[in-house]
Amino acid sequence: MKSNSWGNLLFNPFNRIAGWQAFFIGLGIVILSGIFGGLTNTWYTGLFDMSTGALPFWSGFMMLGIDIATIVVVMSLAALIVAKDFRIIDILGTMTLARAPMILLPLLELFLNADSAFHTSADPTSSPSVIILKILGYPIVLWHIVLIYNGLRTSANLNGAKLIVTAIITIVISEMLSQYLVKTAIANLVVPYI
Amino acid sequence: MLPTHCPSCKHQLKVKSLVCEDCGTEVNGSYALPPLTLLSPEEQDFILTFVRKSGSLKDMAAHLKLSYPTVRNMLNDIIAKIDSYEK
Repeated sequence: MKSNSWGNLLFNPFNRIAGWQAFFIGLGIVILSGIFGGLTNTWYTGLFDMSTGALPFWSGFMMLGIDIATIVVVMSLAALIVAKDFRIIDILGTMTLARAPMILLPLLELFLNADSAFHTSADPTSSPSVIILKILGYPIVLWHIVLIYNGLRTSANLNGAKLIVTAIITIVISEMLSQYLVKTAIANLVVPYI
Repeated sequence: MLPTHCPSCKHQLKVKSLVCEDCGTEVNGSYALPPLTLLSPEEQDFILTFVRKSGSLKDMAAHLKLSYPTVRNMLNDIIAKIDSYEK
């Protein structure tokens, strides 16, 4: 059966998992992401962003909370406008589980140690570890975007042009808003305590 | 499977004749097909299962091993299809 294929499991698990089940699985992965991020000094400074540097361990969880809350709120508001029948728990569950691929970013940093290039190299962007991290990071972000798109489709029962336009608008707004909120939170809640 | 569309021009078919298998009486006329018969066999099966599960989407999701919103979306799509047939 088509929905049993690995492709569906990796890119559209929401046919089978949604709601609270998706939320709790996603939450487990998000917590692990926060732990790996804290251990490798890798921070999710926006919905699709990653930065490195010395920050308190707990700040990673704050950033993850902001990232998830932002996309859930933006998607829910969009669904209120364009969808006729949806549950917020499905949006919360699918958007939390959609973050699963992002756990790979701190794991990549663990092996590549790209952060050291920013301390040792005059031109860190040309460092092999930074270049490899970027090359491998983009497919992971793309995977995340595909999961968000499929999560929105399943949660709000959208199709065609309506789905594409809603996904693009909500993803762009969520990315910009999450970057701004994370930046503001770091400046007001993290920096004063360093 | 009951044919619902003309194999030649694809227009929706109507029932012209019904027959009693017991006495052989034939009733002729031009009767519209019920909307449910216009659905695909998979959609008809979905509706039968849905009725057997007392209209519980949660039970349907467990039975079909699909997520709740996926099953709800399948039902919404069938409702939209039936609405379009009735227009």
